[in-house]
Amino acid sequence: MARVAVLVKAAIDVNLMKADPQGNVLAQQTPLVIAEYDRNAVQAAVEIKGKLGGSVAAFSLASWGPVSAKKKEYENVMREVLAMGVDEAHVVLDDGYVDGTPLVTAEVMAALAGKLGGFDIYVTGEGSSDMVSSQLAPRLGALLGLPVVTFTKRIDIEDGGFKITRDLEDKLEVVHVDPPLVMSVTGEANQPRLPTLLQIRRAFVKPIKFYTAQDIGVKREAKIEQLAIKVLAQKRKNVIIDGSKPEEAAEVLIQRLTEEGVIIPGR
Amino acid sequence: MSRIVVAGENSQQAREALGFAKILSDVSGSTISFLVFSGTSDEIASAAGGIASEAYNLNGAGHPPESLAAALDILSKDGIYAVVAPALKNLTDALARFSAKARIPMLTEVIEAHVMDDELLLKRGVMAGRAIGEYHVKPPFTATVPMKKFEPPEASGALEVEDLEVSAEAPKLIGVEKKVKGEVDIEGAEIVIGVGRGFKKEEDLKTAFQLAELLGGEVGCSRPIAADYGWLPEDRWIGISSKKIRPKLYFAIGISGAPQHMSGVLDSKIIAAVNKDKNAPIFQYADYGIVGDLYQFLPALLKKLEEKQ
Ligand SMILES: Cc1cc2nc3c(=O)[nH]c(=O)nc-3n(C[C@H](O)[C@H](O)[C@H](O)COP(=O)(O)OP(=O)(O)OC[C@H]3O[C@@H](n4cnc5c(N)ncnc54)[C@H](O)[C@@H]3O)c2cc1C
Ligand SMILES: Nc1ncnc2c1ncn2[C@@H]1O[C@H](COP(=O)(O)O)[C@@H](O)[C@H]1O
Repeated sequence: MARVAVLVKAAIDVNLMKADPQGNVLAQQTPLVIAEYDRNAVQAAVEIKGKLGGSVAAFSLASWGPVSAKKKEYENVMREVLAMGVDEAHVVLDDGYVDGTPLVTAEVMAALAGKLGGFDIYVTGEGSSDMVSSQLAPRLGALLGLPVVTFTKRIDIEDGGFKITRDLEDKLEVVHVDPPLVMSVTGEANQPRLPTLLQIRRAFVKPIKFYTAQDIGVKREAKIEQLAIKVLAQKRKNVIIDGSKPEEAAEVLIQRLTEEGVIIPGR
Repeated sequence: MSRIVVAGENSQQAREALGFAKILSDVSGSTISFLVFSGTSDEIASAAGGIASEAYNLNGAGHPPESLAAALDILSKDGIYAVVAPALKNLTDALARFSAKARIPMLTEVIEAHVMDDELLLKRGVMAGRAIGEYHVKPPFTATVPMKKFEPPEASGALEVEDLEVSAEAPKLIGVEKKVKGEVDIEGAEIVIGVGRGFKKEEDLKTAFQLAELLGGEVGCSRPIAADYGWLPEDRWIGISSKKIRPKLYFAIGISGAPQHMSGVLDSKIIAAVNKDKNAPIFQYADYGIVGDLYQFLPALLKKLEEKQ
């Protein structure tokens, strides 16, 4: 039996990002979604439970505020992972931790883990889809004093021990480690399953607990300050060509690209 | 005066962060220490001689993330200004472990460093590359920088290297498989044809290669094509977690335009795209967007180009 914890971030939906006329990102007005690769983390956690038995708890720290306005969105992301097979969700919701860097997030998650009595396996995504800091798993492992395996592409469980394939730039590396451990998984680690209607309905009776900074007790210090988040201005021509008549569309495109001087047909 | 540690698995890697370390050293007056997981004294001297004032070598002992993190624990005993490294997976891992124990901030993939009223202002891509985050950081801190982002100063002269022994518990290594390396220089290509999940089968990619051949370009791809399906080697993978390109023409075929992909192509002069979904985000990034089926459009385009030969 294993107690598995999976870290799930409700991230800014970068496809729907809103900004003011000066280009400042308006996080408050932008919807939140589950960080893309945290679906893989959840799938990995649920598969581990399937092999070893036990339970999966999801941890989340609200990192975009104000939390009172966003609470429903955090809850929705948790319902989604509960439908995927997570058994219970724990959400830290406090404006004092909003905009927190991975330094704060990791300390809060470690404190939450301690409060709940510790876990055998902690799973995170390789990087969140909005901030892509890629720090949480190694930070959490260092704080909890546990072995850390980052960039997991494949998990094989043999006699309760974990054989893990790490996906590095120039090689795949296979390591063996026994729990308790912390791991981060890549977007290629598995195929997250879509929950069935029944699973979605069942998710509504599973527990979601909320915590404040007071419950957690982590103090945030001013070591780093986020001054601004500014959209990168992209100026493109946005000419749309109807492709329903492929030959005509091809002719138009060749002409345009030739005028731009970026291709030389018949060179 | 505390030091700046520049870390890498080998000398070439660590050298990628030297340009950034030099900026920090000019701001703070801190000296630079060079730390490598493995390498010869000659390699280390020719990478950092005259820039670093001291160097440490772990001689390849142990497993890189744990050993490097343990070495950083030792080297930071007398205080540090910063630890910097190129944004490679093992190094990101090592610096994050060290940062957690030291309770200091870490910024991954820093792209700009400025000094404002004697304080450091660092910038990094956020929102999957659609925005830039600006941070005020107080030392000590750690940071990674993208490869080739900060030009390192010329190295010259000798550099004394000290062997450093660390003991760190690490998972047991049971196997290593090198990845296939292609010979493409997609970052240097003037025309790049990008292929994505709109292609249904591996063999269908051949039309993209024909187009690249006709135009004198290279084929690149989205992450799933390389990392998930393995249809193309990873040196053709474009985006936030791989290659950044700046061609005259980027032509995205069957790619949805996820920000994590597009952040690797934003510096292209012209972006063209074919996608059958008129609402695909790729059209927001494109100069010329063809709404249509690639399986009809590509053969037509190839035929027209061949006629013009
Ligand atoms: C932390 C993180 C890092 C990431 N790093 C990267 C990265 O470096 N690079 C990267 O590419 N991605 C990266 N991603 C993944 C990214 O978010 C997307 O999932 C990925 O880019 C999608 O690839 P795609 O466009 O090929 O596939 P899809 O999103 O599935 O798009 C396929 C497109 O093809 C179109 N299509 C289908 N059939 C046809 C047809 N017959 N004709 C024309 N069009 C057709 C569809 O309309 C669709 O728009 C990262 C994600 C995260 C969270
Ligand atoms: N606010 C958060 N709440 C819960 N988990 C998080 C949070 N931020 C990051 N994580 C986890 O850490 C991983 C890496 O995030 P990052 O370090 O931000 O790239 C994510 O994929 C999540 O699993």
